[in-house]
Amino acid sequence: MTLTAPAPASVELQRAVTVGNPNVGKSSLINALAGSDLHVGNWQGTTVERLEVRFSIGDREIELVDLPGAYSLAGVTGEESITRRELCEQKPDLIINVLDAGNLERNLAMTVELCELGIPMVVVLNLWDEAIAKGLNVEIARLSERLGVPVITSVARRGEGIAEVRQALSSRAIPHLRIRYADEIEVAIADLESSLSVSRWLAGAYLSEDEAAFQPPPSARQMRAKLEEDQDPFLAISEARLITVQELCRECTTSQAAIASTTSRIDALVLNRWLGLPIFMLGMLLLFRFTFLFSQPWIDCLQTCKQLLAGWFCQLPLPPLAISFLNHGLLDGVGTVVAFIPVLFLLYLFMGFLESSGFLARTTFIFDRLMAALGLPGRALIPLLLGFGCNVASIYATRTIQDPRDRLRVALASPFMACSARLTVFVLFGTIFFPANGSTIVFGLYMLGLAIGLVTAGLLGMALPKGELAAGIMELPPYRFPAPRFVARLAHRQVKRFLKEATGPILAAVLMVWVLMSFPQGKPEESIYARCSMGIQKVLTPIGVNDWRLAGALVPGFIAKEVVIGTLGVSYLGAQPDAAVGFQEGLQKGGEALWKATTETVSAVPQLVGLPSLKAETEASGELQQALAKSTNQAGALAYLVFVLLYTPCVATIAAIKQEFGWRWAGASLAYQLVVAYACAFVVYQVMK
Amino acid sequence: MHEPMPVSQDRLSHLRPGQIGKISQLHGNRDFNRQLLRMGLTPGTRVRFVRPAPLGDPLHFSAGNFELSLRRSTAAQIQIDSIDGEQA
Repeated sequence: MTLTAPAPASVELQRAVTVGNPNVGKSSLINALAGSDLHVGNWQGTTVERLEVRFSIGDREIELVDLPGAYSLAGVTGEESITRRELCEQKPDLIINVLDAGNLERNLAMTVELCELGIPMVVVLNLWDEAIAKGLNVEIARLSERLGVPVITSVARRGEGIAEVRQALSSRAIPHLRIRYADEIEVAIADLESSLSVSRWLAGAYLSEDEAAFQPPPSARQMRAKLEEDQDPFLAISEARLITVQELCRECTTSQAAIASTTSRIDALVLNRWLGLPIFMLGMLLLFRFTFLFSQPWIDCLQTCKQLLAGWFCQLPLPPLAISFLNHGLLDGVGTVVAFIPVLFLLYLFMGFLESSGFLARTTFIFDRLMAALGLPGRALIPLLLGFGCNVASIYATRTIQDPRDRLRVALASPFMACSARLTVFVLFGTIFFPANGSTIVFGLYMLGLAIGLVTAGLLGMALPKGELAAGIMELPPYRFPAPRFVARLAHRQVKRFLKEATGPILAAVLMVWVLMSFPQGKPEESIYARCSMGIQKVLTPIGVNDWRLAGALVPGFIAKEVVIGTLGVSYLGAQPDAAVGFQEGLQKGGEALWKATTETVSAVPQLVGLPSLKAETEASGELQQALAKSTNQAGALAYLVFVLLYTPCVATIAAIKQEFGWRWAGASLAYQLVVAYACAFVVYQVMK
Repeated sequence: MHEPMPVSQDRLSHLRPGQIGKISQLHGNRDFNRQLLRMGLTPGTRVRFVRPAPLGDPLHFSAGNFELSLRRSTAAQIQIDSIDGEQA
């Protein structure tokens, strides 16, 4: 830095873009450069939209755009055309071309195309550690000399080489590598370059690439027609590029004999013909045990804290209605939102690990055939399975599915997967009405949900306009142990997003139910809630719901299935008074609850390897069980459970569908769930009766 | 454009685990061929069939420095002109 330089009148803004093949660590690099928080996954298509960050180096401000991964500038997929438009139309000041150093030949194919754009460029050989482990070596100086631009090695996820990349951002070097095409093509390209003032690359694309996508002007069409008389310009151009890439690799790289990598050793096990499926099943089983065992202590702890707060609030010098509002409106609302956090956080943590380690691609490989039978891509499996944990997590996880049509199908199917919150209702009714074969009933319900979900995906597949059949070409990336920091950050961000999106709808719904239940003041069966419930019950008579209190509990059930049992308790037994708690005592009990949750989490670790206990406990009191036992019979109870299984799991699910696909689909999904739930419950009741 | 008659009709999907084939021609439609070319599956590339998925499809291949999964029907559109390597 020189002190004599005059202060710039305005901060210089530099527009830079990162470009490269899928899954080479572009997002990691940007995170390391800008200290930002982009989603990082070991998975093609992590960046499905254009992402921007701004940061400054010295007196320059840099706007960095992370473009979706592409194998070529001329690619036809949605993401590839985003990348092309950004480069050809927006003309950035600098291209940061990120390469997988361990897979140079294929990555350089894109680099030689970028060289023809005439835009300043910096080449970053990322994943340098993996390349070295593979026994590859690149002569950096040589490569830099041949390309005419700075070449830097990095391990972005560990922050190695980042300082050098930051320094290189001020480079203005335009690549001087020139691909030599056949003479006729060179003449045509030179002509187009000067007459249309387009880049060498675009001139070549006009002559060889898909005409519908590139819309070449008439003069280019004529030239192309002439060239096509004696050769295929596409083949000629790609061959010339290929030769250039091979030359570059020959000159600049040396490699030792490949050693059996960790990746191929892990693959030999998990992709094994006979062991692959059992290992996968075991993994999923562990996941759900892990989620349940580790989240339950925290859900209990939050519940205790809620009771303690209610115990304080009920002593406040306020009218009873205000206290009821605080405890059963506001506190219950916030409690419902917060109760989602432990499960969601753990599921997102797991999803993040699957994505960034490379296991998600293997899952796709193992299950592609099974899912193909339903017309779905193999990667649809994980989002569907996550539905058994939480439907909200499941809907967000559909983002890993690239085809928008398949994504929608999975998102509309996943609410039928019985999430862990429904289990509480299943267990309560199972214990009361089917004491002998409760677990069979619960298992049957899970299977019914799965079947309905798959049928839904299948029907939608027939109804929606057919997309192009994906050729099923997928990379199996090397395994990478994800940095715990990244995975935790990802989970944290997803939970934050959930809170932002779902808090409003959940709070509004809880408050609405509170208003309905509290007015007019007096007996529960005179409230607006009771009268509405009686109306609903008339509609539900054909499915065997003959008690308004059962019908009514389905309404708060829209908010979340966790509150169904609580509502049943209130309407059968009346509101339980909150036990008053002293301030000191409350703090002490809160501390104890926190300690208990921590120790239970730790002691859950050995339980992971043990056999799952099939005996689920129910939180409902004996009194409630007796009251419910009189409210309906076996047929009615089963129909009720089928309805609970199939209708809208929670308001957060609808909010998630709305956020991902818009109001239209959220509404359609809601209506569809109600119709399916009613129809299935009707059949069950009429048959059982 | 007249190409010489292909010497062999072997396809990538005919390989046994462990065998290596050299790609000679792509027989899919234009978009499909271009997608493969862009990934680096160009004529001349040597591809090793690693294993089929547990359910028989798709197939796991290794092409030098990267691994990929192709459906059997996709691999059947890729012609190879020599097979070597021991059977696994």
